[in-house]
Amino acid sequence: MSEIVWLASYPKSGNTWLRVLLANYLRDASEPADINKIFVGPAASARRRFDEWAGVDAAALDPPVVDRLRPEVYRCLARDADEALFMKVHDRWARVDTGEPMFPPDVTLGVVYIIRNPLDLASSCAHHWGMPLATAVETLCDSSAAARDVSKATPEQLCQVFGSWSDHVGSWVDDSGLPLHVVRYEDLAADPVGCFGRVVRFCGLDYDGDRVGKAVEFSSFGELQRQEAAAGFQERSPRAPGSFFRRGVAGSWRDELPPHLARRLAAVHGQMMARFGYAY
Amino acid sequence: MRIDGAVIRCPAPVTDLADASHAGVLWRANRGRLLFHVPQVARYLVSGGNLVEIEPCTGAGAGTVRRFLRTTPAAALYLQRGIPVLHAAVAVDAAGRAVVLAGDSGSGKSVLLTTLLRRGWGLLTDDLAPVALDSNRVPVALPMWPEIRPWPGHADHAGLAAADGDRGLDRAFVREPRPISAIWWLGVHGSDPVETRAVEGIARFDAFGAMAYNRLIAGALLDRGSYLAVAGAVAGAALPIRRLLRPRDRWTADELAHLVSGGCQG
Repeated sequence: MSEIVWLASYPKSGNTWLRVLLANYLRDASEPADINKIFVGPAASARRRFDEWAGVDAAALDPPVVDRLRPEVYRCLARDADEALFMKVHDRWARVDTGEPMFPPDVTLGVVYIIRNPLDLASSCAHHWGMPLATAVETLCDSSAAARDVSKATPEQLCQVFGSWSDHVGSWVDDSGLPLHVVRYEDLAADPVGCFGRVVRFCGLDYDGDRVGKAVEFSSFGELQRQEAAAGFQERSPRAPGSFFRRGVAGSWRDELPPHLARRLAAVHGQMMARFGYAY
Repeated sequence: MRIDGAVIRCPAPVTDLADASHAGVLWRANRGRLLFHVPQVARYLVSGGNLVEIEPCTGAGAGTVRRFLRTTPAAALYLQRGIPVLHAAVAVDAAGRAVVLAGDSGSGKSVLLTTLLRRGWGLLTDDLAPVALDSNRVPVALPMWPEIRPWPGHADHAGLAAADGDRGLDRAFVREPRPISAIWWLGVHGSDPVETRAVEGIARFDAFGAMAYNRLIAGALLDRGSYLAVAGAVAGAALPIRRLLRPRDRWTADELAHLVSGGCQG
């Protein structure tokens, strides 16, 4: 029996980077982890895990029934694990139709919520989803946005509802009531050793400064880009015209985002942006 | 109604499985029995590899109850008989040999199967494929039903809903076990080209396990000796096992059918 640390974020906010950091920290090896073999826990949307623990193919069930079963599937995963599970999740926090939280507090150790400036996020999402920048901006503003709207049905994944960017942040930070540690992508980029070290401590892992330093070195943006160039990256969307690890530069929106789209995002998300120190 | 000689009792009172050694969300199991409960549909109790008792929920349609019977309960019957069940479709080539198309839901099994049927291949099963050994210890795939279960959204694209429908499937259905000549282990990836590679050595044994219909339920129901006998025979046989990865969002059914039809080169 173990517990789950939810690695929660809106897509393209640094979730993969954090999982690579954790993988490198946990394995404590002499060379960087292979980005195509990182495994710190299953994704919350992983179909095969759901199908096996539920005992039935998710495609055979109505979506509300699938959602209703998800909390119990997560309990089964926690019950079956020997060590803490680090589970990536892009869904917004929500209750299923019976009122039960989709991410059950009784098996939750905590939530690491990774947040990124939506002005930077827009270009990254547009690239990842293979859609025009203006469409990505509207998706970030759409309270009903879900994975099915930005990509075709992906057979390996359950349906994931994102909501708008502000909905997503608020759902985890304000509504979930779960033990929470917020990581700003921009802080992780500026001070990876300090920022990731605090994640290690929050997750209840034994803290070792040398290991943190090594994990940061093995997870540098240059290393991730090098590996992707050499062997590709299985999480890259086929709709993305270039690489998955693209720029990763905080503030790149200033030369990527047309002013009217930046204004649109600021108008919809200004309050939440200000709360987390994102100026427009 | 029967499944491969097993008795199906419906409606029948189904009690809880108090002594379950393994449990998931909708299922509980011990070595000889499986209880499977689909909300608003039915409770299914599978016992000894030869009996299924079904207690339908009020208002559940007979078609829906039967549809779920042909999933986990049917797999449980075979597992209780010591027969591993793969998550696979099986097509039969012109020589009468079984070609197994294994993979997770949505990997393209049904679409590829349908494409092969339209090229004149036979149908042995879709989605759930028991694999046994014949009297010469040759791995054989067992027939299930003349039906195909496509991933939602793929049916029209593959022409599954075409006019011939069920009658065409009945004609294509092969009612006898067939020796397995090849296993294609389907998956999807984020790159564009279709990729294939041979699965060799001990990885063949691991691959057989990874292709299970439900590894957790198989672990609960299938005795280890039976599993090792079949998995060992498959891993040690001359039949090729090939990993086949297709692009996530490009239509590749004809390309894959060509690969499968052409044998195992590539």
